Amino acid sequence: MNPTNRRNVLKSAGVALALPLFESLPSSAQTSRNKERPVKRMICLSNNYGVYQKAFFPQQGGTDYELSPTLQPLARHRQDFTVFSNLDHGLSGGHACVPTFLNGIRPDMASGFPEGNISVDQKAAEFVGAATRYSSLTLKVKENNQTSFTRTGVQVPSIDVTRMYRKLFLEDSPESKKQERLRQNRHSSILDAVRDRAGEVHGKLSRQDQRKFAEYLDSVRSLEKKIRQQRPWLDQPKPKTEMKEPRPARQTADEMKIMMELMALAIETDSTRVMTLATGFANGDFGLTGGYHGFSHHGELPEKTRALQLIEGNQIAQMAHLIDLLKARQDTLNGGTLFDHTMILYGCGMATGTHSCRNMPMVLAGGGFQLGEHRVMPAEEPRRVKACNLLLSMLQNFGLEVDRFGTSTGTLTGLKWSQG
Amino acid sequence: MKKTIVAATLLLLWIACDRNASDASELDSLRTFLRQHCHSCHGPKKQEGELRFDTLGSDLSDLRTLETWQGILDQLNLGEMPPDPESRPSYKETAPVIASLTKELAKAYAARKSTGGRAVIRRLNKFELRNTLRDLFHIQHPDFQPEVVSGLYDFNGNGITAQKTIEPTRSFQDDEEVDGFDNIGQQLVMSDFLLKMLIGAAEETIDLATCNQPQKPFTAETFTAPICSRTLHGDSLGKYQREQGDNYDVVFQRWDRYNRIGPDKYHRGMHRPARYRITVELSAHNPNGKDWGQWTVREGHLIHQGRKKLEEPFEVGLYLERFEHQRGPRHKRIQTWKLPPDGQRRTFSYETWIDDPWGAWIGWENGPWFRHNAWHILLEQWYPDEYAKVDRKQKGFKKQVAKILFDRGYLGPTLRVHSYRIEAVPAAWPPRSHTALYGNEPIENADLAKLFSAFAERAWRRPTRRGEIDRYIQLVEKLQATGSSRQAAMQGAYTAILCSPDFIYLRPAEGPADNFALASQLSYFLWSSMPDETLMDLARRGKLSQPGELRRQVERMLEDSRSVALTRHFPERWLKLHELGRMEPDRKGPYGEYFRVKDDLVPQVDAFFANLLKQNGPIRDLIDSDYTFMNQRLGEMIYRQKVVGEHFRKVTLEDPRRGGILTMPAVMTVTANGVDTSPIVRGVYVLENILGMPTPPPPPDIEPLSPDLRGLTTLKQQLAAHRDQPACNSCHRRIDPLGFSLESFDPIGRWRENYPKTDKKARQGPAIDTATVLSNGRSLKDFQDFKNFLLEREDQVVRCLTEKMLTYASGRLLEAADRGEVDRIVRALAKGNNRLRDLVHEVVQSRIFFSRQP
Repeated sequence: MNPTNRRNVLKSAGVALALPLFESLPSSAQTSRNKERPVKRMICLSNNYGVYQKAFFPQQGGTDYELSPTLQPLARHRQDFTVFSNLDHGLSGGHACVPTFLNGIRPDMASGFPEGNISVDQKAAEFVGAATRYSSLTLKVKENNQTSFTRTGVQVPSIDVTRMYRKLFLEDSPESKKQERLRQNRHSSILDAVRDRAGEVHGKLSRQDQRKFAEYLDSVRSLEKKIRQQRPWLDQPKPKTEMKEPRPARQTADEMKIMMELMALAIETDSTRVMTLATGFANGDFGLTGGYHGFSHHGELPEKTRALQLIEGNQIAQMAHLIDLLKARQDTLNGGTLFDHTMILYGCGMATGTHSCRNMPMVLAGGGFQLGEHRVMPAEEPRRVKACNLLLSMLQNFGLEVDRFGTSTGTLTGLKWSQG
Repeated sequence: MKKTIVAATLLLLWIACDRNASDASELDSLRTFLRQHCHSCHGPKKQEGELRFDTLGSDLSDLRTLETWQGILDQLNLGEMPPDPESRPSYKETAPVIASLTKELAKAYAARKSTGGRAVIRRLNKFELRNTLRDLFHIQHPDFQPEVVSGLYDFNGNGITAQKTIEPTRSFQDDEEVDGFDNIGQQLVMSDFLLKMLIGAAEETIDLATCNQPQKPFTAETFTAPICSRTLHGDSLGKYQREQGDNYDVVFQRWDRYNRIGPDKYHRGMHRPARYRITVELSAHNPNGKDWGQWTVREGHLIHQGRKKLEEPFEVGLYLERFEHQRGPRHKRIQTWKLPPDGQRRTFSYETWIDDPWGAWIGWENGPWFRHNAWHILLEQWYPDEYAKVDRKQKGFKKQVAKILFDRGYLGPTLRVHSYRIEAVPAAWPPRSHTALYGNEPIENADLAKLFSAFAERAWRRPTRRGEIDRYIQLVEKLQATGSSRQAAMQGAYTAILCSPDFIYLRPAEGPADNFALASQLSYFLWSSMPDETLMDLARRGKLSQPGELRRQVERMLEDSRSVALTRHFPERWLKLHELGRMEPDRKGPYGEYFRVKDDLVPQVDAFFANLLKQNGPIRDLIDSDYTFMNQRLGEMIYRQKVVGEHFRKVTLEDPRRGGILTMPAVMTVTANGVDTSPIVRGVYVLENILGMPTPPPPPDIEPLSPDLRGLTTLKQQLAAHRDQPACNSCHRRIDPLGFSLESFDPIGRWRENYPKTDKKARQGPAIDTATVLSNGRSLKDFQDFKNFLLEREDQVVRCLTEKMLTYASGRLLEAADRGEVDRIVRALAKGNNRLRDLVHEVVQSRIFFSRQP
């Protein structure tokens, strides 16, 4: 099927095709699948201002391309990543598109889609369910992460290095565990009473109100399920580490380095399989004075574009560092290295600081994808390809049996991955 | 054969659809265009991309049809179909098609979101939840005040953030919003995540309300000189005066950090929440009026005396101050006393609740400002011979100056504080917040049925029916059986009552006689909180819905202190001020002064709006007024006008252009991005929020304008080039001119004549050019012209405000069917000269707010 056709299939099929509202309980399903399918992980890295495109995208396409200045730090992993050109969500809206990176849907459009604006990480997290201690972690360095959304459109709050460390390694005291168990029991009983009452209320509502009220009923059920799923984890000891509890550092680069280390540890200890991270800038990084937002409105002034290249270069360098870490560790669940089974996506929903959302910067690495090129996608309408196709490929690689995500029109043509 | 059946079915379907579709004719008029240009590839013969337009229906309530029409519109906007450029229709041909199709699709999308013009159940939002918990549990903690802003805060700017309040909604996410409003029932969602937060918030609040400890004893104490020996930083004249051994504390200046008189003992707050009576004995002195009057000018600057005439009475404020970091009010004046400057001792007394982190001090309101009253300045003025002798660089210089000033005689006005007494007002313990939950008896004897039904009636804002609370009594038994204490079990039951949909959702009225729904509707509009006992009582007696009573209640409620919620929340949502802080300027950049005034921006708007509401002032004052509200910081940083003091006060403007709400720094900052200004953004803002003419979003695939700062073209030229593109022109000819008028304001709302320099060698940046021609041909010279233009359109501005307030009050979006009622209100307002308080009354009486028809 050529891109035109796929696009039009979406157009004509519209968004009317609804998927079942909730995926079937994944935990049991996944354990049985584990025998035949490898466990995959997903990491998404982003910033809130896009990139300076002139320094980001390579000039030539194909495998034999010359690395662009911003991508230089990835040179040593050249065979293990692909950079895409001309991929985007086809949206406009400037900063309002930052939250669209991982779903292709602006929050204000969410009501028109069967799964709202759920982001790819939360979709994957639903699939992981209670198989790991945390179904996902939403992380930040210096700036809030705006990319992670649940299917009801709630933005998942992000945590910094210290809270991340505590979540992974800090063991609660027996007393507080006891309290937590009591609390969980109490909440279950409270929710029983709440559910009964909700049933009575539901019967008395008008049809229209009942539709709205379904959200509440779903919330009660789903919270009960989560409490049930979390209960076993309370008795499982957390992994140990020699790393000391980190504090947020003054320099962004230092803090990111700690974060990359923690992310690698999270994967290695199988504490979670899904993470997103957004990074920012602190005044004084790389000897620069100013703010990220101010730089992003560069107006082609050389001192500002240089600053942007330093900031973005660091983000790419940290990604390369993460790849190093993952390549150096054994994957005890699947064999091979962690990198073989961890897909890493770098990008941003707003493509550049000029508020354009065209040609999102997209770099994909790891996870068993066949990579190592600069894929130049068709630039002209109507042959342009939606970035959600890439997200769908990632979900399928992750193990989900879905054939649609966000505004996807299919998987990304020509992007293959190994199952092993 | 098969084909015929399919075709016939399709045809039937189409006809059926057409009957249902109300705007079929509008779409059908486009079919000629489609036939001419599209059918050759998407018609009966060929279906490129599996698309066929000749059988395309007109019923836009069908998603599939809607999507296809949207696809057609997208392609028309792009101008890339048909693929062969030769056969492509010109813009002249496509423009009317685009226009009418855009309109139709917008209608269809609106219909999909429509609630049929009636309210739906609406979840309490974060703001309403906090206020409701405060009133429901009788909590007096200052973090629950409507002005308090919660959230993470970077206290010392090192990127490490911490929570700064303890109120239970502090870590809630922002609520879903539409057109800026965060109380639209249809839009507010519920999730397991939020439900978990709600359980947590309920538990925390119950903890706050529970007082198991016996109250700390408190002995009343009278403090005499020195009452206050502490100063925060450095030294002060007061400090040396107190070493003199006088039997009173002297205040020389307006309260700044050195001149607040409160006992040392409670310097860090009372830490014992209770009601207190504070009694102070004061006297005011003008020792040498003649000399004082002579030295008001120094180095060309007027030295501000605070009082204009010597005979004016002294004003002394009693303040509550909280002694920890937070972004809400740091101190709050709760009482002002006046005393004539005759040296007589007078006693003043005031009773107030002082919560945990707060303490109380008094300060001189209209004393001289400390910067103009520095001691070396005083010495130079009064005793120049002595001034010549002291060495300013020498250690102990300040003490020396102070000594001379006191020995030779302090000539300025002073306030003396002779005593400060604080005593606890006897009150029952445990407080009401506790007894309302557990009763007055020992907890084992608590009458669960009585306590729970009383609580549930208030929490659910309606009488409880028999049997409804049995469930919660059973829950207590169940929890007690599984190891909870009786108190913990009761807390569990209260949590369950709060997590019930009856608490979380505001339900629409069940009929015109549903007085309880009306009571909630009213109190959530004016107070963003639950109805009080008066409203509930009227509802029980079925009297609230009588128009006369409703009017009386609105007046009563607007006078109540809880109505701060309305003046705090409505202007913020209407003017989208909640977006402030999302795009902050650089701290060290040219607009870094923003950080010194950022906490004053919204309170300024609130003060202006509250005053207008209180006075029932004309709505046109929102556009232009010869006064505004400001405090010292705003005066200094933004208005360049001298004002002394922290409090917002009504000030006659020196620069008449700066009246009204539109020019306030809050609005000008929220319509900029901290880096530069855009006439487009501000133009859209004015159209949407002031004139009530929202513009459609730009067509998809239109690239945003990215100004090239290196180039030689001005922003105006770049925008003109942009407007020349036909696809942009239809909207931007309306948008851009309005925005140009506002270019006189920089990204933080200061008046400017020039853009910032980009060329370092230039003496100044390019001049601001506000001259512009509106789409109706009217030319505007400058900003004042622009305001006059808005004033001529007063009706339109009033209509816009009416619609916004109706949306806020009813918690739903207005729809086409509401038009008649809006017209009625606008007409009624015009009769009374368009006044703001009248608008609130009209809104409450309208059938959009509360339908009286069954």
